[in-house]
Amino acid sequence: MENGNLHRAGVTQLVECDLAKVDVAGSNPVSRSKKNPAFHTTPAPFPVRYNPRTVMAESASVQRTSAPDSATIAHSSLVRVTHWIAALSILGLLVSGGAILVAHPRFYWGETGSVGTPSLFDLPIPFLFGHSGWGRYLHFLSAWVCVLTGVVYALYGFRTKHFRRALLPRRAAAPFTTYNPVQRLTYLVVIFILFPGIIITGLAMSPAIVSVLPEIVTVFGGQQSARTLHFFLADLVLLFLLVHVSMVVVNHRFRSMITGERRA
Amino acid sequence: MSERPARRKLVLGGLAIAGASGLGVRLASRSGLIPPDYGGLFGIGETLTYGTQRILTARHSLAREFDRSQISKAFPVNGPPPQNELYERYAARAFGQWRLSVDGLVARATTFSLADLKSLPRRSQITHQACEEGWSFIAEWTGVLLADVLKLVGASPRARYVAFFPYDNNWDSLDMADAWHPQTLLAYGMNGQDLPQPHGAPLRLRVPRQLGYKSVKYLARITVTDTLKHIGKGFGSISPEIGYSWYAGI
Repeated sequence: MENGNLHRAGVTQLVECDLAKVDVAGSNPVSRSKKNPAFHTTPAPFPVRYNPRTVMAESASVQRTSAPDSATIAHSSLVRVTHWIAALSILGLLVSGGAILVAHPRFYWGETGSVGTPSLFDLPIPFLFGHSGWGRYLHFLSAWVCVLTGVVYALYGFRTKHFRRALLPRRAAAPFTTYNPVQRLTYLVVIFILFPGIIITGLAMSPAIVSVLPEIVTVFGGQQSARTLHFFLADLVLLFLLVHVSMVVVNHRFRSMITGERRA
Repeated sequence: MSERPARRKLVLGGLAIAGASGLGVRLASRSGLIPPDYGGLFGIGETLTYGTQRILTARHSLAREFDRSQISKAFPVNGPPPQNELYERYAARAFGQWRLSVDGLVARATTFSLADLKSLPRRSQITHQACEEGWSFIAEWTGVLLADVLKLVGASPRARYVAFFPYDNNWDSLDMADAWHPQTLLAYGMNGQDLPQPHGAPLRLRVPRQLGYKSVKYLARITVTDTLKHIGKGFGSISPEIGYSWYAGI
């Protein structure tokens, strides 16, 4: 069989397996791939393994899957496990962050700020005391879980080239990969800008960490600036979460993050 | 066929991890990396934070000090002075009769008057104080180093904590890393004046590497000890008893 035919067979399976077609580069990937001569001649850019249960979708081996009814893995088990641990810890962080916030829903810029000094802005909610105790305990426990999980995920991502393959936006090189360029860019921003930013601004509020590394807070212009930025970054995480969950619901993608398969 | 060795591997691996972590906890406890409120689910997070920060701050890392021009315009406080007859009597007479007693694992248990403390080498520092609620201010604090007082009374090398008892219920304790720290102050002055009553007159603790609530106000007694188990509920301070962590370096 000619190489190009083999590839095209793979496309057909993919589209059949995933009726929503959210994984393919265009709404009509078969006709689009015809227009792209590079597609027919480019070999898989990395070694191909044939066990479909252990190979990720972003691997080009999907193209070589021969049995028409074989399940296609969308997410590796490490991605799925770290995803759900992170999801739980981020939920914990958002809830506990809110519990801490309501004790003083005012924001400042610079080193200091308190009642009796001008604020940058005030949230339109009353001061609510008595929740920061459990809020702080839960916040720091969740932060540890989230950061340690993130470290495991990041090491995996660099080692297996998961980030480069699955998340680096590119045009024609990998037409079957899971996410479109906007999604890829969003995930990269969340993983490499939002999360590091929220960790650093969080640590910048720690007097013990600041005593070891004062630059972590002076770079933001002060402890209250770090607190304000921490709040805005948390808002962006919340926004991402809402869009992410909406898209999962609309596209029926929930199951693939549990079983790893696109369709059972 | 292949399942059994895999399962055995899993069980042995699990046992190895459990054994290693048990040993790790014992070693960490001996090297002062476990906080007194280590129990429960939240204690895991607290222990990770405290242990990590104690390793990072091991070389007496210094809190930032500021310029006089950076001193804040407002200095809010939480809570009233002690509703305590003895304290109110001392306060009414400008704390002339007030004494600080220092006891426990010391060679010479001593009581200090305010004048005694003021005759010791004095230190002023302009530091940042953040409340766990989120607000903060910068102020100048003047007083005597806790380390100087500990040397004076001959604190034992066996000491692991120093506990602070005020005229209200808000007792607390520090580990020796913070007790010997060159910025841990027993402050009797604030912004160039005697310590105002809402800020803890006549004497308060100042621990600039931790949140504000560790800086105990209205001090009456200091005890040097090798265990916190028999004080209060054994969590190291009033804070864990009312839902806040003992260590506040965050």
